[in-house]
Formats: sequence, C-alpha cells, structure tokens
Amino acid sequence: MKPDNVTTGEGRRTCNGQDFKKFVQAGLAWLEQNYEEVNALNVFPVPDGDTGTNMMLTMRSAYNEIAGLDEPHLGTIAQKVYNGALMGARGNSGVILSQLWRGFARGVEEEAVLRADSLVRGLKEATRMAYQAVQEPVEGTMLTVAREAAEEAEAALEESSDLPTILERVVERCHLAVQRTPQLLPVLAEAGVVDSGGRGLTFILEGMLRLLRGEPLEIRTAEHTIEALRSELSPEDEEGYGYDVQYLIKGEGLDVAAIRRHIESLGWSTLVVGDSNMIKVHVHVHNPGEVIGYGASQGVLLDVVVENMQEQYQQFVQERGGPRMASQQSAEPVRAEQPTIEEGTIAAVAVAPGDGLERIFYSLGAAKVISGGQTMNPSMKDILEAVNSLPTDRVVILPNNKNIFMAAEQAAQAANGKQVHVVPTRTIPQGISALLALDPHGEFEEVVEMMTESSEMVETGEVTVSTRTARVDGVQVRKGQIIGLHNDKLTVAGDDVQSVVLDLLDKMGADDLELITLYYGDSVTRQEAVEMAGIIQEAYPDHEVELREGGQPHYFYILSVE
Amino acid sequence: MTNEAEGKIGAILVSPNAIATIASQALLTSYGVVGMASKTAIGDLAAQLTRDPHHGIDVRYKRDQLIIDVYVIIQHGTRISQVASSVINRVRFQVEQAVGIPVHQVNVFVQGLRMAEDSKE
Repeated sequence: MKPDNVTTGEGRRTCNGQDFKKFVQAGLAWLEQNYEEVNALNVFPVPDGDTGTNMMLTMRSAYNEIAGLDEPHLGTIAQKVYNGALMGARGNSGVILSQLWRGFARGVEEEAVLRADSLVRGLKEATRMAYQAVQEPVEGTMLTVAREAAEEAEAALEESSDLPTILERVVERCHLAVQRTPQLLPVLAEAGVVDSGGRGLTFILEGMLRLLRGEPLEIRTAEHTIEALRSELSPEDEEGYGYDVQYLIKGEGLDVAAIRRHIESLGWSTLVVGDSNMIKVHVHVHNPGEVIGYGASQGVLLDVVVENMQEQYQQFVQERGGPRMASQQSAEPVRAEQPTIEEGTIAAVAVAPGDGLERIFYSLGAAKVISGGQTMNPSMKDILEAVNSLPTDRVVILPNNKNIFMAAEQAAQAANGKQVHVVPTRTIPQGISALLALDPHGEFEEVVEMMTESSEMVETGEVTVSTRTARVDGVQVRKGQIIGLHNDKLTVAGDDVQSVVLDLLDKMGADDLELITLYYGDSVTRQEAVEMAGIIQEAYPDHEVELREGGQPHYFYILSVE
Repeated sequence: MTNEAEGKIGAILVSPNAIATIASQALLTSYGVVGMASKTAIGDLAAQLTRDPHHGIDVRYKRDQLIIDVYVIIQHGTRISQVASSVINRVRFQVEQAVGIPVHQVNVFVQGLRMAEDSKE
C-alpha cells in the first residue's frame, strides 16, 4: 500500500482530517511492512494470536472506517478511527490500541485541524484512556511506550510547535522506551526481547513520521540484503553450516544472563531462556563439544540434541525439487521465444528472476531459463531437470546469484553422462555477459573459460531497500533506507532511489567505461524508469545508456556498466 | 482439594482457593477488565464487607476437571468479545503454569460495563 503524498516539509504546522487520514494510512502501511518483526517478539505462550498481526488487523479496520470519507474535520475523522479500531480490535494488543485511539479522538474532538498542541493533547488523552481500562497496568508494555510518547510530546511542545519536529522526538523516545521494556518486565529480559506491542505502536508512529518526511513506506523485503549482511556477520560461508545444539540445563541459582552471554560468544543464532532452575539453550556452533562442555559445567544437562546442519541443508535441497518440479512442468507452456538447441552444441541454462529478465536471457540464446533468484532459489533438482531436458550433452549453468551456487554445483555433478559446468556468475549482468560469450560450436573448456572471463568484465550495481539497520563494510544503513550494492557489496546508502543510483554508478567507476544498462524491477513503472535513464544520460552525456524491463522483484534497479 | 501429582513418594494437593488467588492476579492485569462482580447483588455486598480476595471467581471441579468461572466488569468502549477471550487465555495460562493442572474451562460472565471517566458516550 502506498499512501498518497502529503505536502510535507519543515515548518508544517497543521493538518486537517483528510491529511490525518493519510497519517493513519501511513501508520498502517508501515506496520504492515513490519508486523512480522513484531510477531517475532511474542514471548508469551498465551494463545492470543500474534501481536503484530492483531495490531495490523486492528489498524486496518480503523483505516477502512475512514478510507472513503471526505470529512475535513479532524475530530470527526479521529472518532471514526476509534470506531473502526473498536469494531476490529483483535487480541489484547488490538484492544489497547483501540483505547489509545479512543483517547486520542477524545483529545482532539473539538479540533478541525491537527496542531502541535492538539497532537500533544491527543497523545496525553490516549495514554490516560488506555491506562483506565485495566486494574493494574503492567509496565514494560505498549502502555509504557504510549505514556513516554505523550511525555515526550509535551516536553517537545515547549520548544517547538512544528509537527514534524515533535513527532520526530516522539518516535525517538518510543524507540528508547521500547529498548527499556526488558528492564521493566522480567519476562522480556529472560527471553532477551523487547515488548512486541510497544514495538508495534512505534512502527505506527514511525510510519506517520516517514510520511511527513517523504520517506518511502514500501519495503520490498530484500532478503538479499539480509543474506548479504548475514554472510558478512556469521561464519556460515567459510566453514559450512555447522551444528545445531540444544539442551536443557537443570541446576540451582543459574545465572541466565551470564550463561546467555557465554553461549553467544560460542556460536550464533543463540536462544537462551529460562529461570534460575532450568534453562533452555539453542545455538549453532562449529564445535558442539565446547558448548556442551560449558553447559555441563553449569548444571545437569537434559535432552541434549546435536544436529549436523550441513547434512540437513543438503537433504533439504535434494528433497525440495520433486513435487514442485512436476507441477511446474505440466503447467508451464512451451515458450515461443525459446531457441531450439541443436544436438551436440553447447547450451546454457540460466537462473533469472522476473519475466523481463527471463525474456532477455532467452533472446540472448539461453536454452533454458529457470525462474528464481534472491528469495526463491531453485532447487538442485529444478536445475538438473532443465539440464536433462536439453538435447545436448554439453551444458553451462549460469546461477546468477551466489545463493544458487551450491544447487547449481550439485546439479552439475548429478548430471549423468553430460558434461556440465557452472560459470560462477553472481549477478544478472554477469550472467548476461557470460551468455554473450557463449559459442555453441566451440571447445567446451575454452567456451567455459571465455564465458567466465567475460562475466568478470562487467561491473554490477543493485539498488534495493535495506531490511535492517546495520553497519557493513563501513557503510551505515538504517532499516528502510535505499541501498546500492556494487558487485554484491554494500556500497552506498541514501534516502531516495535516484541519488543512490547516481552515487552507485560513480562508485562503480562508470566514468571510465562506456555502456550503462539499466534493468528496472517490478516495483518501478516504465515512466519512472525512463525518467531515471534520462537522469543517468544527463550525468553521463558521453555514455550509451540502455533501458531494459527486468521485472525482477525486490530490486528497483539492476545496473551494469562495461 | 485436588490432586496435582500422585506418585509413589506422596501427593500434592491444591485447594480451589489457591487457584482462585492465581486467577484473581491474572484478572487484575487483564486489559479491559476493570473490576470483579458477584453472581448476585447480595454476594457483592458480602464481598465488600469481608473484602474477599476471591470475589467474582468461582473454582469448581466437575468429574475431576477444573472449571473456573469469573464474573467481571469490563470497560465500556472496548471490544468485549476480545477482552473476554483474552481473559480466558490469560487465566488458563497463569493457572496452568503455576500449578500444572490442566484447566478444562474458563467461563467469563460479563456482569457489567463501566463507563470511562468523563465519558460522553
């Protein structure tokens, strides 16, 4: 969902009911993008549904109530928001959220437009109303975060009457308040998480702030980035997947925090929960002996489970293909653009995400294009079937993504009686360059070498949205920021796509090269892409700029420079 | 009195009163629940006089199965169905976690609604 633009900028002081509608929409949109993160924080095994989902559904119901209204009066709109939230309240967190809206509506009921002072009053009333509906309010929850938000708004009003400034401080304070929830609520500290409801509320307010700042509210879940970051941070790449170790420690006076710290130092993906008598440990390590030894030194070990994840992964990769491949084959019509492959020639199998890229690969002579990429890796079996389906026994595989290397290698080894080689192309532009160097009638070894060399000649840029806040390769990114990767490495970060594209081209050394190709993704309209190409042409007047429809998910643009 | 665990080395018994205490704690922090009430007006009066901590909570066994009835007052202007189902989940969870006895049923009786302060609704 993409909220319409609101006139924004510094110095904005008021907004009427219709503007406020967009705020609600923005809060909902940002929560929708992040509700899974909120769900993941749920520590209570109370079967009350997931906090993130509940809050999102409640917000959706609130927004639906006003979506079709032309009412300009803020107070009336706010009251409708509460009605919608009340009717659609789901779960505990949804009920609390509806009470916050109720108080807010009460606070601004006489107001035609939202000003700084009415925002503050709304937040204060929201808190008061929310606290009223429970006999003993539990601190360290959404209630605490709402209260601190109201306090901050009040303090901020003394210094400024600028809405964005106040909201900015409120959101910052919310983040701090959320971080502090484990200090107030022991169950959170034990589980090592922050409060989910508070986090959800923060996302709603943050969505509103993002709207004011003109920041994007749509995140494409670019798993790529997560994977890229993860591979930088964890040792899975070099040493394989290691072991998954789980056990219970039984003892007396166990120090959960100390044990968690130590376990964290031994491995990754750690989970250490429990109390002074019993602790559950879950960790991924390369040396299971070490972590078991440590556990045994702390108390009695129970239910020790050690699993080899490398094996599991390979099994997973092998098992996955079967039924899916079968259904795909029957459903997939033969493509007209698929070139016919002569017996005995060298054929290429490529992996590409998106219709546009698929067409491009076919048009350049790929014998078979398998749909897949960042978040939808084809299985080894998918690739093997593609290889076997070709009427030739010499095949080159272009994985076009690091995550697909393993499946491609396995397929190459499993292809009986055929000569199959993987050219390790990490990106789409590399794959395209490699494909251009394919000589179907050449010597197999030589052709592979040529293709590999050719793939290394091209510089790749990818532009997407960061899915988390992190610092990688000396670049600091905030979650939701636009980021540019140069040859798979995070290189630039910024707040709008166009400037990131230009920065990235600069970092890619576009100055010294000649041809810039721009593949635009499924979230970019043709018009936006044409405009982007125009901007690039203006910045590089002597270069040749080509625009292609890639249709890839997650990435706004894939760039190649050669 | 009821059996929680009967082994060779002895038995643990938990009284309905103890369970009612746990349930009442769960209700105090249940969002949307603003008070407890008795089944009858006389019960309310008696509870006020005696300051019964288990006011509005009825714990009983039916063929070895634990049933908890709670009589609550809910904040007006909340979604009652959601508040009530949260109460069920919460009471069940807290009791089961504390004493380890499976709770067969939690029945919520909404005995009244309280208007919000300076409410115009």
